[in-house]
Amino acid sequence: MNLKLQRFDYRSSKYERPNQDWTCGRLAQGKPCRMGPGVGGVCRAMAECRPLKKGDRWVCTRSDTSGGKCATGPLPDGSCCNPIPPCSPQPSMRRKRGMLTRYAIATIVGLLLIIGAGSYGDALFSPGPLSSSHAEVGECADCHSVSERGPLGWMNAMFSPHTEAEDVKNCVACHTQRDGLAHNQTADVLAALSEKAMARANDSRGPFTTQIAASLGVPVRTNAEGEVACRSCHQEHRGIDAEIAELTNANCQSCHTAKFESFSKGHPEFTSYPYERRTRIQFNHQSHISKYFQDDNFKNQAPATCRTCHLPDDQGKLMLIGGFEENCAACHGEFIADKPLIALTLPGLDLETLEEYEIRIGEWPVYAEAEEFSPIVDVLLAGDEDYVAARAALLEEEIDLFDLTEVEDEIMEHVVTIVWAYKGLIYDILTEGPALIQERLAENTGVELSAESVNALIGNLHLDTLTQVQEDWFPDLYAEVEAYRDDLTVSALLIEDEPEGNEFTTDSETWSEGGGWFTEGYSLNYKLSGHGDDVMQAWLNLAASPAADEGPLAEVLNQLADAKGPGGCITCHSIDTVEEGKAVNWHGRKAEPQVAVFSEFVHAKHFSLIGDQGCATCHQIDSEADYEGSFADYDSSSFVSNFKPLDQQVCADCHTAEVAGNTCTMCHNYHVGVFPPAAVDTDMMAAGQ
Amino acid sequence: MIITKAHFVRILIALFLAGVVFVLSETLDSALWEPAYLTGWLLFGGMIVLTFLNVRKKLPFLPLFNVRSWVRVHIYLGWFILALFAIHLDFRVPNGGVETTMAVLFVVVGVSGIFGAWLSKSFPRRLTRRGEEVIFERIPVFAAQLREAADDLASYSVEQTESTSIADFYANNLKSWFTRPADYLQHIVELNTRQYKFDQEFDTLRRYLNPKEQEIVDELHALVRKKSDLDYHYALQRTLKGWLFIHIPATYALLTLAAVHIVLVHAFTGAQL
Repeated sequence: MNLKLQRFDYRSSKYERPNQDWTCGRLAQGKPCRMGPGVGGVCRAMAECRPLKKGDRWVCTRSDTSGGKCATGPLPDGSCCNPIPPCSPQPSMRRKRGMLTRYAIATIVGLLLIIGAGSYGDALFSPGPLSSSHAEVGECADCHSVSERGPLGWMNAMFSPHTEAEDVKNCVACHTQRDGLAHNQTADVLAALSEKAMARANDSRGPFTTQIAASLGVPVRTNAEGEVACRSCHQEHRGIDAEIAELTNANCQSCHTAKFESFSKGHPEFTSYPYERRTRIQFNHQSHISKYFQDDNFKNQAPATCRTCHLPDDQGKLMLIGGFEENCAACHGEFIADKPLIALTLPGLDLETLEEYEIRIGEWPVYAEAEEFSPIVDVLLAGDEDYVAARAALLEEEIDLFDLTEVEDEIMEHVVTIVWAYKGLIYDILTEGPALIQERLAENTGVELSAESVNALIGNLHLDTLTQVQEDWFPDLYAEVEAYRDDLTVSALLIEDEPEGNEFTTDSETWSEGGGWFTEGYSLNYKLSGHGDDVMQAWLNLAASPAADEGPLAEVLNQLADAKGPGGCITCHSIDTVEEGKAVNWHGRKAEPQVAVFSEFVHAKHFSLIGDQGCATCHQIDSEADYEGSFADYDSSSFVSNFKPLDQQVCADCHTAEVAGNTCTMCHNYHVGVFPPAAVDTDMMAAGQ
Repeated sequence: MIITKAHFVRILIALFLAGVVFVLSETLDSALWEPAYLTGWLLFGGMIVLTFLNVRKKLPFLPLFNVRSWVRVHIYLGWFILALFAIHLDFRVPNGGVETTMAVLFVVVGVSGIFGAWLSKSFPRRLTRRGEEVIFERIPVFAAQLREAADDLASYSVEQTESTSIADFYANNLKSWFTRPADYLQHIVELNTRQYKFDQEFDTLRRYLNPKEQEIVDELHALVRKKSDLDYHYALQRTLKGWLFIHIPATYALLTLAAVHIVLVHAFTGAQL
């Protein structure tokens, strides 16, 4: 039995065309016709052959592969004797595959059209859920300007510029404090920072990819204005839990000129960080720890540990300092109010000579003996040109007011000017009240103060106190000043008795022991109530307010900023030059959660790591440092810390990629500036309804 | 299928190129560029190139290398594209509607492609080891020939032996088996359970037959073996063609979605072409 099925000779094996779309419907039964279906899948078979007429006879033409010529032969009419019944051609495998492919494409397109046009369109086309930070964003159009243009608009947008810039506007519509500039800084600031960084840079080439980018000349992606689009760093649609603020070290270093491999390999030295800015409160750790806290007199009051004075803020970042009462008062509290603020004092005069020369100055106490002029009075009289000229002349000539025997007439006139200016000032204050002080300060210093601020300056100085001053010093003040100003003659009358007060009552200084105004001889003084006295603060704030180091208030500041002056405030509270003048640092550094700075350190996270040395693990006192010298001026940036520079290796021991992490963003912020929390405006009336 | 050194080297080259793209991608990412544009366009372009194999098969007359070379490029470019796909996704699982569907389709295309490549390497060897070389489209004709031969032999046995033993055996055990391709999965996994069962039954039958009948049964047994070989070829050749029913439709569905994806990405990220 010959069981060979497949033959390949042309007589017994017809040519197969698997590429054809249709196969004979009878193939499954193993009996396909020779002709096969037409192009459109139409059965073309009619008979097994098409007989050929040779002469007057019809001849069978059935091929050898179909069995050769049949025995019966064609019918008399020339038709084949073996007609083939029509079949239903079947699609070939290739056609079935093609159809399935087309169905798949049609299904995809159909689903996109149906779902995309419906309410789930946004969900379908969204590349993924937004992070939880942006969970409140409702529509695609909230962020993507192109969203509402529709499919044709999207295709158009592929070739249109500026859509990214439009989208950035959508970002900053909510994130109002941010812009596209790197670190929110201008190019000039960044250039200065870069220069500073390069000075500290190590010889390092940065991460591998950064090196390749440099080799290939791949620039950092910015727009024409040098701005970085938000989405360059913040990749959204990566799921609810995605950290969209995460950046790689290479991302940071692509912009930075001072490149390095990692924190432990090549990071610029800390140098002065974090001791770059002068401390607001001047406290010499070196002298206190090594000297005062060792003193037997103060040993008991000395803090036991650093935490006695320093505690972390709510975020655990800053180590805040405690208040005066808790930390300083035990040693310094009793000395604060020792020296009063001298607001008004009568200078002593050579009254005999004045009388001898018949210079009519009216009343003037014989026992007034101040050698110095009150800077506060000078400020209030700074608008009086004659007074200012007189003061300048006396100063220039180094005139001793207790000896006017040999002075020239011109100097004598200056003395008279000063006398009447003093009297006039008291007269004016008594007749016009605090409004006069407000007016004079505005005119003479340019500082516009409110009535409340003026009240803070005069510390509730009662009219009766000032009236008493007038009655004791110049009983006939009103008549004298009015006569002087009317160019009438004023008789000389010396006040020879010192004011002693009522013999039954206590003196005013004792009365004001807890703080307040009192007179001492011919001086009107203010006794500080203690630390944090409002009047002293008001005067220091006023004195420091002008930017210039000259002017009427400069002398007031010199008097008050003296370490041995009233209160000695400036011994601890430094004064900084600020944009609009100068400012007294009444408090240590405060936590500012809304402020993001370039570098930050969370102290609280590290407490469990430090060993026996405690804070000194990082902060080691530098006994050679001239800390106090940093406070000689008003420049907060010129600073010599009490502590040695931080040892970077202490951090690098843990902060590696494998242990505690060493990403730039662990310590550094990209968005630097003030970012107040978004406030919500609620119409209370509407809410109530 | 034997993985030769040449296979290994070509796969390494494909993966090395993918590694180069990965480094480029990371470089762009470090400079705040979006590397998905680069990897995405490479991916799309690569997939388009992969479809050229199908075009090349349809245009055999074009003098553009032989199909074998095209298949080789298709396979190793495919490996490169698979790695590129992972880089494009940043080694994450996508979670958008269109993107997830694309990823699923890509996995289907990739897995079916790897499966198809394995089939193309291993099945032809098996086909040459067993039975006669037959054209797939002609298998129904041969099956019909064998069925007719078996029918005739059963009738012949009744005429020659005046016994219906063989015909009954044929009718009860073999006739329906001869009518259609059978034992697809057994042939794919190369299990000869059916053949073994038939051999056992033929041996049992032979014990009760006279020599004349045994001659006829031997012929019938030979037809059964032939039919089994034909079924084997049918199963393997059908599988060789069948995997493309997954690979090709999924490929074009993927390309359709990729086109939509490109429009969405460029429009919504503001990356002007």
